[in-house]
Amino acid sequence: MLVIDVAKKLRDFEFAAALEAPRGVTVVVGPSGSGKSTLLRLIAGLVRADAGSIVLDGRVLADERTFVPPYLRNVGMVFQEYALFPHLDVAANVAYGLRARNVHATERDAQVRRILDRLEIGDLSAQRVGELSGGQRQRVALARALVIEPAALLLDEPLSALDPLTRARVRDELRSILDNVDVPTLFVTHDQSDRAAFPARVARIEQGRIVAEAS
Amino acid sequence: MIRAATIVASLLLLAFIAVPLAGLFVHLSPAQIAAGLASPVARTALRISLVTTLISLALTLALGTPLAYVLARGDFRGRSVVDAVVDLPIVVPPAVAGLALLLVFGRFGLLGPPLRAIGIELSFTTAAVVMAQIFVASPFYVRAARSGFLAVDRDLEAASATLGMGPLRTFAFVTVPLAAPALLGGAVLCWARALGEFGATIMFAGNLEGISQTLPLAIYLNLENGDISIAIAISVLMIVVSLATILVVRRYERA
Amino acid sequence: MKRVRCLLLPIAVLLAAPVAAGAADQGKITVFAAASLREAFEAAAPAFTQKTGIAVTFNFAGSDTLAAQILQGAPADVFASANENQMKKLADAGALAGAPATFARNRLVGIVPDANPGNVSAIADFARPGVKVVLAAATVPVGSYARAAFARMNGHDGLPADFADRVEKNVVSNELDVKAVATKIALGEGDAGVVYSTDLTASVAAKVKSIAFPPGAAPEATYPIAAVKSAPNAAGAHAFVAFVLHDGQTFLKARGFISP
Repeated sequence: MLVIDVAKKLRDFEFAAALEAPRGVTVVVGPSGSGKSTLLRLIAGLVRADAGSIVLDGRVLADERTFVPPYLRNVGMVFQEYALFPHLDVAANVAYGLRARNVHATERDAQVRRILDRLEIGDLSAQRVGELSGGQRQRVALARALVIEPAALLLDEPLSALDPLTRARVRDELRSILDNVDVPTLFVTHDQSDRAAFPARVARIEQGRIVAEAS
Repeated sequence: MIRAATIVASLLLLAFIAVPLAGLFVHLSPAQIAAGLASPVARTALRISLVTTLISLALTLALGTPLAYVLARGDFRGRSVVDAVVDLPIVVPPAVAGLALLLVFGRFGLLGPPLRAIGIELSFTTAAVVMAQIFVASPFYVRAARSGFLAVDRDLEAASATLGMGPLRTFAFVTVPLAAPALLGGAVLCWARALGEFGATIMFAGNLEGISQTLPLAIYLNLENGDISIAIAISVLMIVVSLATILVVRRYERA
Repeated sequence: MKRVRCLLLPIAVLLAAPVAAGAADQGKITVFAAASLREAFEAAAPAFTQKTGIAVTFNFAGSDTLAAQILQGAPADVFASANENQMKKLADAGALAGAPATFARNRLVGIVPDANPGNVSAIADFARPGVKVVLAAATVPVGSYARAAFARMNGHDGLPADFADRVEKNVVSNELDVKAVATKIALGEGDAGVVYSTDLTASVAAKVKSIAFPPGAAPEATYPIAAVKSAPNAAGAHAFVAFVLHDGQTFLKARGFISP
């Protein structure tokens, strides 16, 4: 369970969001500029809140007294433009988080192969990131975030970088992948169609506030 | 017609740069150049230049890299002032730089007495040569490094953090490899500028064979050694070294 | 074609300018003079211009540097050197338009910073271990005169036979000209140096103390002057040389030079 209750003064408005996300996907819908990315960055620890707390599975990630830096939070994140490392190939990208955890090389390679196969991109492992299509990049980004077995998963508009034709197909694939992910997952988007794909839990964000939740 | 004018203009400038450089090579025979380079004056100056410029480069990399990173990522009051200060030595005449160093670190300079109290006297030392070089040359590296870091997408560093790499490891595994061409280019420029430094060196460090006489000083002071063969020989050496470094850097940048 | 014509005109003007200037050359001269002559010559120039209508541009530097520049074809009309060596170089290379004439002499003097950090009270102290001596490079006249003076002091007045060598060991910098030596000592860098007595201008004298060489030790510096063979303005060059040897003497004496 991911419990958020934070406030931060932004340039255009006061961000004050409260949200509880249990295991599984929670879609957070909102127009652009509503604070969606800020929400994820706060959870990931890339940005500090002015007040409030973020608790994940009972562990305090941030509150008045504590601030756990992002590299110790074990929160996986898929960025809007995927943020794949251009100087590393696909396998090295996916292995990156395991390297951070000092996983031994052979074990690392095995885990990478497993996740690539699971996401059906095993044949891309030696490719350079620049040669991949949008849909392929998204899967690499997902693999990279999943392989570290994060305690929570954050997806920042994972489909918006794709062209409309690819989007629908990838959305379905994404859903089947996320069905097997058993941690609190926040899927942030401005696209209503995404909301339809994940009807289980939806929240609406506007001007930095969570205005409606539904399950 | 415009094209003709363009070609003429380009050739003029190119020739202006190339001909004097080539002229140095034809003035002496290869045997004379070798003899000039083998002279004790040249060998000593070469040693001083190599040692000092490498130390200057090392210190610049060590201190300039964090500074460049702070300037690229930091968002603090007065950052533009710091930027301007770092750029100043590029514009300030080297003699002014030398005088400034003398007035601060010289014996009766601002910091002279306190330094002397702890047993440090800097003027007329090889350390002073290094200081003069760092002063005039480090901005070249810092500027290039700053550009390089600015060009690294911050989301990449953020992704690295979320994947579990701490700030230092993120810097080493993501930022530096991606900024590497800029860092390398900046380092080479810095080293080249340090190698050619004259005005600040002679003002602050003085001129003494084996202590502070670098290659440029040796050229200038040996211009009237009967013939000028030693000066030309050293000049030829410096041109060859510069050309070699440019070629190496270009090759790396393309990779 | 119109555009090309627009380009041609400025280019033609630029290329023709030096040629046009050549015609106006007779109105000015360039004098390459030893750094120690700066104050005297700059004071004398207006008088020369008033008398002859010729404007003077100076290039002051170490005489060795100037000689090298002239040998490489620098456009000097007149060369005034601080020693006969550098002038002889030009004479041997056939670069002079006539025999040089001595127009002044100068004395060497030791200087120490006002605060005298090296505790130097006599030239003999220059050899004391740890004293930081600043000289001009050996090829600069004042540097060569100074070293000759130290060599003359070898073994005299109780000084060791290797006095000059000991002083040489104490040298921490070989400056490019005498003014640089004066500046370094005036700033307090270095414990002792050797310059000409004419370099003790008001501003320098305020910051240094002078120390006389023992009688007979320091050679008198001899300053020759000559017109350069390839002078752009030969008539002007000879006029300046004549001026320095006659009317110009007052300016030299006023600044402490000794008459030839």
